[in-house]
Amino acid sequence: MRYYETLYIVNPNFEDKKVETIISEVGVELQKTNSKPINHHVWGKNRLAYPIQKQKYGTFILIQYSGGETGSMVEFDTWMKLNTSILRHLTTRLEVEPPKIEAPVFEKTGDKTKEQEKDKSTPAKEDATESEEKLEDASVDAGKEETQEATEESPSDDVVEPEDAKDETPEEAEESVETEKESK
Amino acid sequence: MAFTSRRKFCYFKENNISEVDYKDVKLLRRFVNDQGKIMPKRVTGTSAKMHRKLVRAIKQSRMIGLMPFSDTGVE
Repeated sequence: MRYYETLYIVNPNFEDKKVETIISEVGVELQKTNSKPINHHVWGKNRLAYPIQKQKYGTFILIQYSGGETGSMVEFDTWMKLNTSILRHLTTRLEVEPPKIEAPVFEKTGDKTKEQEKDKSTPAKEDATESEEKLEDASVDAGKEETQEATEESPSDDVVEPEDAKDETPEEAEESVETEKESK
Repeated sequence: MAFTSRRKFCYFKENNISEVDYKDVKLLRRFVNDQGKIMPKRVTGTSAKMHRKLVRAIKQSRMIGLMPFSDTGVE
C-alpha cells in the first residue's frame, strides 16, 4: 500500500461554505480512484510566493490518502487541473503512513492565534503611532512595496489600518502551520 | 594557527532529520539566498544525500507557490 498526499490551492475569496463544497467534491472524486482518504482538512491561508492566476493569497487544503489505482489517478489529476476553482495542486508520495488527525486542526489553531493576537495587540499600541507616520509617508510616496515593508517592520499595523485586514490572514496561517507541526 | 574556522556539518544529520518536507518553508528558507536561489552544498555543508532531497523539496515548494522561483524584491 502506498500513501500519497495532495496539496491544492483554492481561491482565497471563497466563503467557508464554498470551500467545504469544494472539499467534498474533491473527496468524492478521489473515491472514484479506490483510495481511502486519511486526512482532509484546510491547511491554512497563506500568501503565495508569486501570484497564481492573479491571486496573491491562497487557501491551502491538504489531503492524505492511501492506495490509488494508477490509471484512475491520472484521471483525478486531470480533473484537478480542469477544475477552475482550484488554482494549483501538487501530489507527492509519502514514505511513511501519515498519522490520522481526528479533529480539524484549523479550528484549534484559530483559537490559539486569536489569543496570541490579543496578547500582541495590547502592548503594540504604543508603537502604533510611530508606524502610522511611516505608513502615511510610504503610501503617499510610492505605494505598495514600501507599505508592505512597513507592515513587515511593525506587526501592530493591523490595529491601525483596516486595509491590512487581508494581511492578517496569512500571518495567522503561518502560525497555524507552526502549531500544527508542534501538535504532530 | 592564524585562524580556526568552525567545521561545517550537515544540518539534517545534526538534527536527525531523514526526510525533507516541501511544506516546511521555514526550514527550506535556510538553504536559499535572498534571491531565492538554492545555495550550493559546499556553502551550507549539507551532505550529498540530504542535499538531493533538499533540492527536490525546494523545487516542489516552488511549484505549489510556497517559495519563490526568484525573489528580486520587485513585484
